[in-house]
Amino acid sequence: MKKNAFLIIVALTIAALLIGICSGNEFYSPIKVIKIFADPHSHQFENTILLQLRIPRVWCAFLVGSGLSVSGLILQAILKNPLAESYILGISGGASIGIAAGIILGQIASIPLFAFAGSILSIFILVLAASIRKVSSGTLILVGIMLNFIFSSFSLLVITLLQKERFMEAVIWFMGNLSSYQPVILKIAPVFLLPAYAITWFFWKQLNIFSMGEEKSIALGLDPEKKRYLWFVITGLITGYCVSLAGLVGFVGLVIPHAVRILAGADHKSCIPFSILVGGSFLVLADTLARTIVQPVEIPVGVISGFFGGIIFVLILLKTARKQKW
Amino acid sequence: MVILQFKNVSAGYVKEEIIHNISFQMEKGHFLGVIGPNGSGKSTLLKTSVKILKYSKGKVLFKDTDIREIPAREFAKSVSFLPSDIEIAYPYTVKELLLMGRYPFSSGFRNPSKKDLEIVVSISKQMGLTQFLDRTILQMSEGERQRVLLAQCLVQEPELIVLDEPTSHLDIGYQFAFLDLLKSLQRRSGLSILAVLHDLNLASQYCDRILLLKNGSVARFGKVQDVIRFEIIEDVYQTSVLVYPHPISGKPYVFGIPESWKNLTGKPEAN
Repeated sequence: MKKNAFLIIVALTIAALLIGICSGNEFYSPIKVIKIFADPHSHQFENTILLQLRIPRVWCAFLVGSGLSVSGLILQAILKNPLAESYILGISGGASIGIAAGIILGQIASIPLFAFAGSILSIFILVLAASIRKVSSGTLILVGIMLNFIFSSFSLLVITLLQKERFMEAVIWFMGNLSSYQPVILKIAPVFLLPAYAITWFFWKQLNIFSMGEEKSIALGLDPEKKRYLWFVITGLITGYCVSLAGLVGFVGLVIPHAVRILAGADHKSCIPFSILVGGSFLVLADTLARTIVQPVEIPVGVISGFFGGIIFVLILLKTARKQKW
Repeated sequence: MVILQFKNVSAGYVKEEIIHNISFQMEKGHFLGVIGPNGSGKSTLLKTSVKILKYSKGKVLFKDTDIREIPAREFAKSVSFLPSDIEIAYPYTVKELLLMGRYPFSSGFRNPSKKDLEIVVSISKQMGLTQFLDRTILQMSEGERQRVLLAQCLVQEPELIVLDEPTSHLDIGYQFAFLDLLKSLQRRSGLSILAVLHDLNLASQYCDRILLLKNGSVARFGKVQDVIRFEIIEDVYQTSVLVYPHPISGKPYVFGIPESWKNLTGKPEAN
């Protein structure tokens, strides 16, 4: 059953990647794509479009989608709350502070770095709050939500004080978009995401135990207070990386893990690879829509993912709410 | 042999000590029931005994070793704990939940071993859960759910199982079924059971020893008939009761008396 589901998801992922690569200003059929690659010399223009624009863009969307899903999945397990997600926990707020700082300082090219630093900063504050006061996971979520408000208000204040042309730049970052990612950052993906995914999958049992709650975790021989720092660092790294590529893309981290649990069950051994594939494909499709729906304008992908993600989420909720307790 | 011993233990939360100077000994193979009014420190005592709460004074010994010196994972191989009102947020299947009980014995990424699976199969057979293994926990009734959670504790193959109000949400049929199951495990495999029970009469029928708490201290500790006596219960719970032997077991049975009956001289009129 699960094996079949996994094969279906792999097939759908490949399909999503293909759709992403084939679509654009001009639609190339898959056969044409193969022809272009078979004979690059006579299709130099198309070849350049594929290699320089579409494939990196699709790859970028896939990475961001998968990263946000995996970090959402981790946070939902360690906080035992299906509503936990890096954006809700104030990590987005931290990133937006970083973005605002970058814009104030006029360092437009290094905004990704600022965003990354901001995410790490807010994770750090969260960890600090958790360790000094030893609060429960429910309280921690509330602290995160409040952090998010404080940070966002501050960065909104900064934006309103900006000059007009910079204002647009900032807003696009806050909406989340994949059109202005930095190729250098995309290239270091293996350094960041691969180890993070590998560690996450390696410790799938720990995530299962965490999701049983603090008392049961201790009773099963896992000290959640010590172990959750590792997970905060991992989610901070993943989220920071995603934000530095695409700005604030909302909802993926909340919706995808939930959908994955319905597809694959709650066991993290299967949830983790499913989240990578489903989250990646979802954002590839959302981004394909974002860049083709109103040509030649590009809609920020965050708008599309928020819109469809929200609708899908409500539909799933209405269908399963009776069975689930939260 | 003593399996669990409290020596002058005080414990609680950072700013508030809840149990004070508690001492008692629990024999291996016994069913020890902890009773007491709301807020008397029953759960705190239980959480202290399973390393969830740290204690400030005294010593808790598990088989003569201070539990602070036993690493969490090692401890989980001998003692399992069922918290009260445990909520499961995600749709795990029964089998996945039971396998989590093998966590203290597992390592890293590896799939469950053959032994793990054998234990899960045999426990689920004993508990009548075989046909539910592939169901998700969210699809099950309260009584079935509680049975799964008990099974998860048993999969740990504990010597001591600690339960916090395990029957409080169950109807009377499930309450007896649940405690009968525990009792048979105690008889068959010498399992030691430490449980907070809200219902005095269930405690009286099933426990070998009773620990009665009042305001965080031990009010009485001993055999059922020495603790469940009307003058003791009336004093600790601040209410009027009658205690009569159960017609079959002869164990003490507590009858509450509503306030309005106290003015009546004879029996209240039956209607």
